[in-house]
Amino acid sequence: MSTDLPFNSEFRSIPSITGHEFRRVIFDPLSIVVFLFLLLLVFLEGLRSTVPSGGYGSLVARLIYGLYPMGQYFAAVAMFIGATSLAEERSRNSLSVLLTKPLYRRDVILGKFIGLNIFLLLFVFSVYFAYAAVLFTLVGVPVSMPDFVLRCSSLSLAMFFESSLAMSLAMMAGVFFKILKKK
Amino acid sequence: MSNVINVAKKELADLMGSWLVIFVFAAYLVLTAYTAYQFYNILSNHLYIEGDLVKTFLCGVSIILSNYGSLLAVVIGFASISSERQGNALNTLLVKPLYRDTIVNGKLLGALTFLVCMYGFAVILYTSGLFMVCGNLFISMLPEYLAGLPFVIGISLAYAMIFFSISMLLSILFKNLAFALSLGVISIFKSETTSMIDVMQGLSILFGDDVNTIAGWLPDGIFGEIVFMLYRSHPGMTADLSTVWLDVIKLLLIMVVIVVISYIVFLRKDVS
Repeated sequence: MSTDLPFNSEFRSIPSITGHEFRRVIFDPLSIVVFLFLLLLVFLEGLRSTVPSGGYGSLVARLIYGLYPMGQYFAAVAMFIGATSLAEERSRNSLSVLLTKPLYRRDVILGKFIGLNIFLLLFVFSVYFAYAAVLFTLVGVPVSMPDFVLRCSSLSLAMFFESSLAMSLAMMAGVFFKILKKK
Repeated sequence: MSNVINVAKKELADLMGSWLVIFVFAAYLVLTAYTAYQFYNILSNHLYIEGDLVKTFLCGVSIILSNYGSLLAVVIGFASISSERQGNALNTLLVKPLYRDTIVNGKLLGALTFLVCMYGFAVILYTSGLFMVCGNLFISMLPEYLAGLPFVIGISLAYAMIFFSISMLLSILFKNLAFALSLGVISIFKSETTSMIDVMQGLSILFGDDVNTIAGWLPDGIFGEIVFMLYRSHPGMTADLSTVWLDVIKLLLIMVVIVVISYIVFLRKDVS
């Protein structure tokens, strides 16, 4: 009888860790607070766009300049979830329990990384989608919808990559530095 | 009174020994040095108005102490509560024969002293940088620069204390310290974003108020107005403090209100 494991058996734990990490951050109070604040900002930016002399011209330009200041919020949320990802597990001693299970450390890190990136992708895209919806409602539909969708997606992706970098750096810092203990 | 000073001394010692504070302060000094270095390009390419250089220098000080210093203030506010919570010292402190307001007075005094020392250090570093970058040109403007420094430091300190108090309040309210620190940092972004013209125009459409009325009550709006009136609006003219006294009072009022709220929460909340 062969004792070799199937190739994909080593990676079966990653999706469950990914799902757990995603559920952890999506219900995190900071994510919810920042998301609601960004929705408010999106609404205010949209209201501002209704002023005849106050707009930037095209809808794409409004999308770029209106969402430009929100990049720091995405980075702040990314850094928070990245830094607390492993650090909180360590402080609650659940990381020690996790590592006694038949899990590779690689799977734990990969699963958390993928889960957090999925959350960031959804977070960024939902804010951009909300802003586009507000602009369509208050200002009007763009002349070329495919062009607008492509530009909006490109901007969202760029913002997602920036946030993902911030999250990765924070995750690395969370591995190395001692965390703030939750009482 | 001696108890307040004892608590303040302890707070000062704790802040000096906090790795988080030391790390953030080191990053802050790097930013300060970089701000001073930027004058090298400004002077090399003659990108300044003659007779207005002192105002530009003082504007640089205000950016260092308010924009970057507010982050330092948030970290100090967070560290003053979190270090006690982590080490279980807060509960031990509260069972001692000390009034709660003695503890919070001592913490405020210790943190304020620490912040003033850090700001002084940053200003010395910045001024040294200006000496190195500008040379004889800066020496000729030194008396005017030194005359304008106390007001800039004072108003920047008032601005930073707002965020210090917010950070301390959040650390008292929330048990999750990482959440409290992140929210404190985000409060700086929120203050900056809400003061932006786009958002204020949106608020004015929503509430029907004038943009200037709304900006006149936001910390960033008030501080920006003071800096603009003193250092950017009248090239070549000396700063006239009488034009900004109302904005200064508003800023101090916001600071006092947030400190009082922190007081009330600390006095009433169970911090176990």
